[in-house]
Amino acid sequence: MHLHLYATSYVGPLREGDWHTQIFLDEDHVAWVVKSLASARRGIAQGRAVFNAYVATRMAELLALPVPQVAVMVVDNALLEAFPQLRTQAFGGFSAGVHLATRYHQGTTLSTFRAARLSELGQRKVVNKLEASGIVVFDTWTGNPEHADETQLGLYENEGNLFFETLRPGELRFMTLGHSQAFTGDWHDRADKDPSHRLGNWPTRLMGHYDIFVRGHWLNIDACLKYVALLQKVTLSDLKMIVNEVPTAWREDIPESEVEKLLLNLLLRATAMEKIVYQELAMLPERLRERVARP
Amino acid sequence: MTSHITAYYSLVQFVPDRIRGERINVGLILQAPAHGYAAMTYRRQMDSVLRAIHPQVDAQLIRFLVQGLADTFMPYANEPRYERLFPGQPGEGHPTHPKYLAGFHDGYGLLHVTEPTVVLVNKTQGLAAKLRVLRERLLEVSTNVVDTPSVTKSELTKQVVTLLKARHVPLVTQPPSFPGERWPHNRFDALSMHQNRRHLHFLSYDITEAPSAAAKGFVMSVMDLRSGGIRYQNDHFGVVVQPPEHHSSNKEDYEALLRVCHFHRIAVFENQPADVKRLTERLLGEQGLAI
Repeated sequence: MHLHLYATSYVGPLREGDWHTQIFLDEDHVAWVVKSLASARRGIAQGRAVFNAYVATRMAELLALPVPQVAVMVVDNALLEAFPQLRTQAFGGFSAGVHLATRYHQGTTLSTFRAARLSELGQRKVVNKLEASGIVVFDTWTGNPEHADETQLGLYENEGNLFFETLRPGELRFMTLGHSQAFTGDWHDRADKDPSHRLGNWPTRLMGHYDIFVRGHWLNIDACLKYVALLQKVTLSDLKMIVNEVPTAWREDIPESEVEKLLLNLLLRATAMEKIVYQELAMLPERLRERVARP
Repeated sequence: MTSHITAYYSLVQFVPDRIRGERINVGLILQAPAHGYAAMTYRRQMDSVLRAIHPQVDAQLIRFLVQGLADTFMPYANEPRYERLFPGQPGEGHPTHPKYLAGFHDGYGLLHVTEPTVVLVNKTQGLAAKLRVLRERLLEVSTNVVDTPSVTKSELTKQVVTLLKARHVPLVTQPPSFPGERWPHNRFDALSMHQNRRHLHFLSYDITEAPSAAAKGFVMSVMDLRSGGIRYQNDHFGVVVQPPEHHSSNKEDYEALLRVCHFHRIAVFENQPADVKRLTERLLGEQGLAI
């Protein structure tokens, strides 16, 4: 059993206007960002969003990648009585039970940096650039398009999901948020419109190409291969342990056989990761030139 | 029977100017009306914090006000030892009731009490322990920041100059400024005269903020003097740098400096024994700092 927290107080919504993510406080008065089960199920990944987010983030933690901590948070009736607005649809429609909590960190996102025209500065102060390779490898492994991928639609960057935390004056540490679309979102129920969105039929391209990773030369083949070797060491029992931490309320609709299939697919994909990394990173200088040419 | 107590916490804030709205947390009140509990904790050394936000504050007055408020809750600050058979139902005028704090919202005061917020307190943890946790989170700023060791410019200068003087290098550490083509004041950190002028500059990149402006000024001065025709044609320029060992975020600036110095033929020496030895030899030799 991993971390189980008890919500003792409520602060407010994370962002003005987005009422579905709320900040709660645990027994140590530490802030956690909580998305209600009801609102999580309305996203692309539907019933699997919470499962995906929890399992993928715990897997990333296993590989020591820069992701915020996740936990299971118990929201009690006593708290909902004190803050009745949380039950309403506008505040995410919370009900008593277990919800997914992500540790709240204060800092800036890439979009804030871009808006302030400070991406250069942000890039210069980041101290954990090597971990960018790990994120790209991990996103490719789990088929997570949430951060950035180059699809037929062209370059797409989710700037709000790259987060910079201030450690000491002059030093930033980047972190990636958003793992609810790992295992390509709703990995089984989706209709056959896009074949890459089916379980085990994941794209054979690198994902997680943030422009800042590529332009800033943060990606490096040695570091990528080091991370590939690391994730190949992950065993079925490691993954099963993580899946067993997931509360039953989050996986009611997911049959055991599907989970089994997902885990086996992950292990199978891990063995083929080296080829993808080699192919893609060899092409990187060319692609960089393309991007520089683009206005 | 529930395992949690419903309690309320409010922050006591110092507001020097209601119009500006700046505020700082100076105290914290925790109330559990059903258990007849109310307690307040406050910053012990608050004067410097108050003055930082408003230099003309009468810190003593604020301290007395906060202490006076804390004394109001003193009689109710005992941790309830036993579960009450019948939960207390204090009136709104009772200090353990959250509505009691509304009496402090007078709109003029220097102290502001925030609206009570519900907080569930684990019975095994207890109210007094919760108050300590809240104090740690809401009043105190954690000071366990590990300071990265750094080498400032003056430390670097002192270290290298001491080593050079120990090796009998004639060195002027506060040389005059040299007029160039563009600027009348081109100043470097050290000067050694031996057949020709040898200018030395010191730059440390092992500090929080990279000395980019200083480095740029140095290179511009070198370019200025070199463009000054016959006057400075025999001058040699060198820079002694402290590489960013602890502050890795300065690495790119440091490498940029190395490239620029290489381009402009400025000799670079690092702060390490082998380089200081090389620098000594160059300063004492006929060759000078020329690359």
